[in-house]
Amino acid sequence: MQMTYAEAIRDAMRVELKRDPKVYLAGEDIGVFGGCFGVTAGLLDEFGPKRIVDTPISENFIVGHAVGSSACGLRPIVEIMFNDFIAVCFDEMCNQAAKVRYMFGGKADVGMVLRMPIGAGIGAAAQHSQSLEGLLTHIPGLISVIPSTPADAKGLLISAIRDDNPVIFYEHKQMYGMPGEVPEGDYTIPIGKADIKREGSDVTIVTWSWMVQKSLAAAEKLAAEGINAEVLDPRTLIPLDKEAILKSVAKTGKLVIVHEEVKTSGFGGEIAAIVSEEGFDYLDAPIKRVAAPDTPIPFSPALEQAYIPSEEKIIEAVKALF
Amino acid sequence: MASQITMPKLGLSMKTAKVVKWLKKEGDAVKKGDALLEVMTEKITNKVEAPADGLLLKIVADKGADLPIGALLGVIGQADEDISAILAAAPAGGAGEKKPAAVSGGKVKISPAARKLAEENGLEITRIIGTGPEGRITKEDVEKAIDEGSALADDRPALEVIPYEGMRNAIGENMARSWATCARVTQHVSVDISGLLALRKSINADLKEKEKISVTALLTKAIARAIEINPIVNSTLDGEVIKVLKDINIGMAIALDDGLIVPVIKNADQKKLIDINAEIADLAKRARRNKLNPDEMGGASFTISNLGAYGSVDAFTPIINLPESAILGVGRTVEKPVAVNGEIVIRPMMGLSLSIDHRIIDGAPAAQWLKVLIDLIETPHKIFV
Repeated sequence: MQMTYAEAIRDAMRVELKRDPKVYLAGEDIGVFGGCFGVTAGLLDEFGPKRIVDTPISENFIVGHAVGSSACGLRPIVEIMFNDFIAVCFDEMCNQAAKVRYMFGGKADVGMVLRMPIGAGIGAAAQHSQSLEGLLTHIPGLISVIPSTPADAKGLLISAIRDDNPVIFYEHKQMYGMPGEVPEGDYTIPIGKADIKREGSDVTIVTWSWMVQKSLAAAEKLAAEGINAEVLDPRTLIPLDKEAILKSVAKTGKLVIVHEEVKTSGFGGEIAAIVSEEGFDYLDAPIKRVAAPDTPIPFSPALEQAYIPSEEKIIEAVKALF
Repeated sequence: MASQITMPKLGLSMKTAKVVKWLKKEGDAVKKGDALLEVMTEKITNKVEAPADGLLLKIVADKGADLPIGALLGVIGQADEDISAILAAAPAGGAGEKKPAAVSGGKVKISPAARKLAEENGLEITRIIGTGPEGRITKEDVEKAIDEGSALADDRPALEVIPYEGMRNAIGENMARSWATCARVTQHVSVDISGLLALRKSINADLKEKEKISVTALLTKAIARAIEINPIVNSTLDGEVIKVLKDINIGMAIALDDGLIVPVIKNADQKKLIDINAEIADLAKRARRNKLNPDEMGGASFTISNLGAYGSVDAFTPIINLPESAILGVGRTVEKPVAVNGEIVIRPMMGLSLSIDHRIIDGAPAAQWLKVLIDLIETPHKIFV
């Protein structure tokens, strides 16, 4: 059925709240207020305050308590209102969530899900607009899921909740209102499997989250000029579906990576490195990255628009390879 | 102790030389004095000899590399000897002279996929034209080259396949460059050499068999004298200026089994006829044995190309040996009826063909110079006045 991205996420949580009594939600303003972006609206009424928990304004506590409760067997889905705030709970993610299962020899699982909105474009300035999805990919033990459509969001979130590892689930603010066809009821998408959002033969665009939508729009314009772009959405950064990327680059010979993260140390660099290590002979052109500039996100709406990778920049990057 | 094989100095004017081919492989045992490889300057091909006994441990300079004097070509030493310090100290002597569309810092700009495809199909990437960004060779360019190659490949049976390299390549490139650069005009004339032959006969009457003067020597002397009188053909175009050269250095094109070579009689105007005669004989002999010093092949200001001995050519259109401005072709001498003082007489007539670079010399001055030469040949005592 038709749902928005936000509704699909809510639907996934509802499915799991109903299925498994150990599943519960915790976060700032997720209960009475229904979430800063309305994602959890109505769930408090449906499942009550023991399952939908409003927390104090302490991200460190939100994440820390989830590590503990999941280690004890619960299935917390916790929300940090903006992914920028991950900085204050870095120790909980880096040294606790990521390490517990390994250091206790598998005797404790951290089956938590950390939901975090990312992205610019809503005039929320430098501390509420970042895309930091690359940051936690550097820490083995954490899974990073980053859907670009309502259906992917639902299917991947249900898989994330059922996974015994700590999963970070990145939602893009710009897409909360975006509608799409979403399967009803119990629906899962395996973690670690890329999806080709548009088939093409001339260039591979690897991209995720909101940039998938921008890349698809760019691909349509490129098609009008005779360049047939393949848009590949890895959907999860960790684990990464390398095979799908390499297979696509083998077909097209050209790779453009598009992400909203800043360019330096963005996850696109990792993908470029993988392709040059393992797919060097496929490449018929240098690998291009389209990313945000290495700067804090401006508050000025005009500058913010200039900051976000645009369709035009994607088109320009692709054309430079021909 | 490992010995370095370095680029020898093959003449005063030599700056660089090109590796033609290696005669030994890495790992071959060599003795001091063994020929290891052939190198070629613009003028000559020479062999580089082993400086010591040992194993040829490493070939540093690839075939085609154009390298300066002293550049490391290879290393000779004992098995298992550590030569990394020698190799690290020497600049890389990789193949140079590659000038396709996309060369950056000595490397051909080609995508990895294109390079792999070219290697799989045995294509020389320096011959592929890149059409990608910044002239990069793309996979598509290689695919195109493969298609064109298979369409153009000449698989007709050949009696002999001669590599276009070394001297052949040097001659070819120089001739093509001259043809493409010069505004060449050739003036033909038949000249009566009865006087010259008579003079030769009388000179030779008193000389020992070994010292007998050749027609070529007399002609060379006549040409040197003609240049002395009218130096217009002794010019060269040097960038912004035309220089009329002081030294009269006559190049003599000499045919070899596999090409031709042009040794030079320096200051021919100042030399005695008998010395010129001896020098021509010596140069020709050593040229045919590839024993000339490269300096003996440089610095010509005017060249003679003599096909007379073949008896088959009256006149031809010689190509100027750059950076000279003129060349004289000499055809066969044939007895012909000619009118002298109102009577028909039989005279030995020699064909001369003067090619000039019209950028430097106009037709009229060239004709005037030819007149001086004809006068000297027909009244040859004037050569010595």
